[in-house]
Amino acid sequence: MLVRIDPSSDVPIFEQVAGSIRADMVTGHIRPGDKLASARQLAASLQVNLHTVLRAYQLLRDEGLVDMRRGRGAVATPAAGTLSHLRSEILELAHKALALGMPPDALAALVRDSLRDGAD
Amino acid sequence: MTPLVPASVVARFVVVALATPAVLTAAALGLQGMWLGDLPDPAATHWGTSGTPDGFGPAWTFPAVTVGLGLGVPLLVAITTLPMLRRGARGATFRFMGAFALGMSAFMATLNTGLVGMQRGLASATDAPGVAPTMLAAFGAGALLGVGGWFLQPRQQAKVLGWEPSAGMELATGERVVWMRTASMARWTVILASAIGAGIVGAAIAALIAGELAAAWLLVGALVVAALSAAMAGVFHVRVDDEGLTAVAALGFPRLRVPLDDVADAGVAPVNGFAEFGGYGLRSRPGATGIVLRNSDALQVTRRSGRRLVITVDDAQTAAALLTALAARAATRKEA
Repeated sequence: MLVRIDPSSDVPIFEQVAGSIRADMVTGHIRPGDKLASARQLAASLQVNLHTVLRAYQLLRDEGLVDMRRGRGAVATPAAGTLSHLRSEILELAHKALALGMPPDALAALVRDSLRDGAD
Repeated sequence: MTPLVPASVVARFVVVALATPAVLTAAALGLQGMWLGDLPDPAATHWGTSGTPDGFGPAWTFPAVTVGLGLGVPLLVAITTLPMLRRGARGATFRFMGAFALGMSAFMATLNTGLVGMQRGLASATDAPGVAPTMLAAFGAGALLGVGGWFLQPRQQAKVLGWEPSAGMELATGERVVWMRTASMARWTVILASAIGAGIVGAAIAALIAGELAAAWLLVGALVVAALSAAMAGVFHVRVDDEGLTAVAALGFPRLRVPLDDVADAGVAPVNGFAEFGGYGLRSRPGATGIVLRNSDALQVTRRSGRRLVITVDDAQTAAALLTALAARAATRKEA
């Protein structure tokens, strides 16, 4: 897995970590059943607080992408595999939005809204 | 001393790893063939630690082993290594494999011919003399021809087929990036190893039931050694971060590291474990160290000394790109 964080960004570090791991699931670099790196090791490598990484893992668990078991660490769930099915659509949407000059946050908000509408 | 004709790497390899072993094996078979009729039946084929024979078998065992290992190993080496050499791959590891094939062949030819020779005219194989002098001579011949085979081949500038230095990924200033991956054996290897392990457990239980306590302990011991070596060399956690490249065995030891300022270049190229490292696991050869758990694409990193570290791991492309980028960034930071 590849995790990138930019401490100068406005996005909280834990969200950047979670975002990186999510991206790895979309590209298929993390597949269902794969064990994520230990939070302690990831924190040491990124030179961030252990709790920051744990918070990222908890966020992914709340999204159903990761299973946390005592003694086994964090493991990618089957839901992580379905993310890769969306890869081409996500890339297409991103390209279109970029071409139209749409700010990323606005696109994210629109996607979120359409998901909520779809759930109604 | 400069040779009149520039030594061709491939031609010398064929002479050392294939032609000479074939001649040695043929000569050994000729001598053994002349003497085989004079051997007691059965002949002594195994000697205990005290130096007296404790295993017996038919006389043809000796020529069979001479061919099987004395020619079989060179053939195996040639089959896996020669195609790569012919396509232009070079490296001290190939030179080593050629020399190893010759040494093995010389050892087998000397050992088996010696064992046949010393049993000529014996009434019973139990009268066979000690094995130590023959063993010593065989080791001497193997070592001598192995070293000779090394120097008979020209020095090779390392060249890995299909290898190109990675261009490096884009990094923002101040961005922190880590790549992590677990390198493990191919699935069928794991299944095979597990099956063998289960077989040993079964044999140990059978031995225990049969009351063969010593045999049971021996089997348990073998299992522990096998499991330990699998834990030490079967699974590696590999990571690339600001500390450089780190590979740690599942057990926590051994641990290999290439610091960022020791990275000359990094890239991806396929590796053949047998041809380039003589086997699998944690391997060390002239010019290269390998964590070779299967035949596949591998992360290949060159140190400033020129020595290579080869790791078979998925997504090696990303690892090489990140390591290249981090090393370049560390170098500019040091200059600044």
